[in-house]
Amino acid sequence: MSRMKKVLALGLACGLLLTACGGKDAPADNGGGTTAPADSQAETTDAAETPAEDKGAVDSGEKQTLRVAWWGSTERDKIYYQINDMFMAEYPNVEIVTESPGWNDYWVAQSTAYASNSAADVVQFQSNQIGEYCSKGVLTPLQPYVESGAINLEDWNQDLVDTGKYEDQLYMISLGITAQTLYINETFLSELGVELWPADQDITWDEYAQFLQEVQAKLGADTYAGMDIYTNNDLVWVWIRENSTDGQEWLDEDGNFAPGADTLESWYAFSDDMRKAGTFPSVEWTQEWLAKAWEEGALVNRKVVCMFENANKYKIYQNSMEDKLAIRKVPVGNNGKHGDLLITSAFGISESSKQKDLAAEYINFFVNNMEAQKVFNQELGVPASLTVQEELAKTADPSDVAATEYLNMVAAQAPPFVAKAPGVWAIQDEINGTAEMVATGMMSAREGAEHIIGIANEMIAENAN
Amino acid sequence: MKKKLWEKYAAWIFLMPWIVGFLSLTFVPMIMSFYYSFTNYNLLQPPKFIGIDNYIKMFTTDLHFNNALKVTFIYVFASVPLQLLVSLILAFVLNKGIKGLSFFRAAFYIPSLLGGSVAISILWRQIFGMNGILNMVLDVFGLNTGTSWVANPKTAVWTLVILRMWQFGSPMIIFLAAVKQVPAELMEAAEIDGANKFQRTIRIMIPMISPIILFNLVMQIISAFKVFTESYIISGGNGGVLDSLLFYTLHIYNEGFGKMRMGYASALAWFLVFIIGILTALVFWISNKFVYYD
Repeated sequence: MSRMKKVLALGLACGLLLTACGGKDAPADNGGGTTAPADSQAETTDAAETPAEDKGAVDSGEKQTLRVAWWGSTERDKIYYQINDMFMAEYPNVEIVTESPGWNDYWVAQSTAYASNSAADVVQFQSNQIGEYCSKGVLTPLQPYVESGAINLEDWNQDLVDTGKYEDQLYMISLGITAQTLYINETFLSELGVELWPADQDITWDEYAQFLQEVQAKLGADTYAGMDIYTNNDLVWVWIRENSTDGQEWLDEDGNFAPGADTLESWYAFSDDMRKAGTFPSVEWTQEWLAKAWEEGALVNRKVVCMFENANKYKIYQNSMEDKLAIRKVPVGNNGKHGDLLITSAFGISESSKQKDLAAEYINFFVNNMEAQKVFNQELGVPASLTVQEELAKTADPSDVAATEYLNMVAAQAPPFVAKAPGVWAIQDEINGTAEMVATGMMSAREGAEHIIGIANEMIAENAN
Repeated sequence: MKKKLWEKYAAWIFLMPWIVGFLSLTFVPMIMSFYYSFTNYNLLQPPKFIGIDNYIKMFTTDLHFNNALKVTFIYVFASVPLQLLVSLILAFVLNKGIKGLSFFRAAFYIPSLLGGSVAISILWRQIFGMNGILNMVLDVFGLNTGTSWVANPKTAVWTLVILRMWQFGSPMIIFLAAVKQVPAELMEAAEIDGANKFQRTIRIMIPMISPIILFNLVMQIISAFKVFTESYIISGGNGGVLDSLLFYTLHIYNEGFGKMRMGYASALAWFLVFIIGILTALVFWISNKFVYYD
């Protein structure tokens, strides 16, 4: 009997563990489904009473519900709700149901939604994840909607349209484009008596390192010339593209991870050398400051002079500090090659959606309706529509104008956009983690590079199965 | 006859909500996850059977696996005994019949209600950060080295051990109930026989509540292995510098949802079940030596 009780107790212990692996301890801010707030719902009702113009086949008169998902925040959600209300005012028979968890929870929500065949009709993606999702056939090819005119891309910058493509097939329509840029505290630099190079001039990474050393020599303790770059998930891919053959950034001809050990070693070695020279802070210091909100970060607080970040955050940083913030192009490889990688946030339509026509109509409204775009106001970067760009420039914040000019310049010089192969995005954490091991001497830069290649090939093989 | 029939099925009817919930939300997912652990499953495509490859991968190519095990074992073996010791001592103190007992009992329980929450995890970052409260206090004594206790790989996990110790309320309440059940005449008899306070505690009180100590020990070990929120929030989800806050559950989460390797994550989860099963069996086996049953 006693033995029986023990067996039961053991079973209960295992059950308790498995039960709790899921729900209770999940992050409390795990975003679930949300609908538009009460006030916006009220506006919708008012709008529904207004007779609408003929909106084509999708507005058949029957009540339709369209599910839309994006990664959100309190402020961003307000913008989307407002645009959704504008759409519902034009399409009174359509009700939009929204889902907007925060960034980290968003991807958990999407992967599980697609796994359970319950994904939203319109889903927001970032170009980093295009390969992961498009290769699995869960998204609808959008070229037919463009050809039929349901989605109008006539006046769009083609380089920016291409950021929604995977293997030459269009799957996503861009909501905004960004790319890495180098932010420099110009006021601080001027006080130090260091001259800044012209905005349109390219410098190499070696020249950037020399610049950092010149700045660091004039700084006091606990202030650094540059923020470490090892945690920068986008910059590492720029570095890789600067050292790659165009079109073979991610996979080589045999389908293996293309970046060579020399390229990855040089990435790790750059940070390591900068830390040893004292121009980059310690890993611990970097983690501490990166954990803070952008508006309270090291750049804003004059803890670093230079930092790489996406160009669409220029307004946030500049508005958070009194010093003048300059933006400069990402250094080119020592071979002189540009590696800029355009990052798009874009809408796609789930293959499982039963309302693809309506979803296409919604996307077209969102990206081309001028009033909607004025509300959106470059929330996710520069719009790909040249007409929208021109219109927004008339009333734009100077920092937005600067960001747009920068992005257009980068788009013109960047190598063609190639979506990351499936499995490549997932090794990002591994690249960061390995950098920490290199930084603390647990691995050499070469060993780190070889470790990454091994892991990357493993993940690519898993995705190929 | 009707009454007998009702009695026969009443229990089943009342149990049905739990049984349905258990089968659909626990049992079936457990079986599914066991199957997934032998597959390559990326959530977006059907799982593909790959035998024991996932289990081999744990011990061969996954560098984070060893780190996650190490961090989790340090956490469990340091925090559980400390937490139980603190809760036992406080249970003895509260058993003294002090004034305002119910207030103190409630007050001591509050940290357990808040302990694993997102808010407290953020607070912990503020306390143990580079410019946190701890360093401000150390600064007064000239001991501030400017280190970030949550970002430093050598100290990060210990900040979470302290957080767990702080959540002593639940085991304390259970200990307090057990201590109150110990017959007063036993303690009085020992006192008359000349046993001092320490001897009475060690020789009578502890053996009398030993089944409850075993219960708390098993529950807290399981609970400590499951900790997720604190490491997720405090490390920003990436497991901290050099995986110093990569608890095993966070590793499972990152593999399953971050990298969309649900098959591998399932294998990791089942290995954790195996570890806890072994540990629990060990505790029960050792309990034969120290647990006293009437």
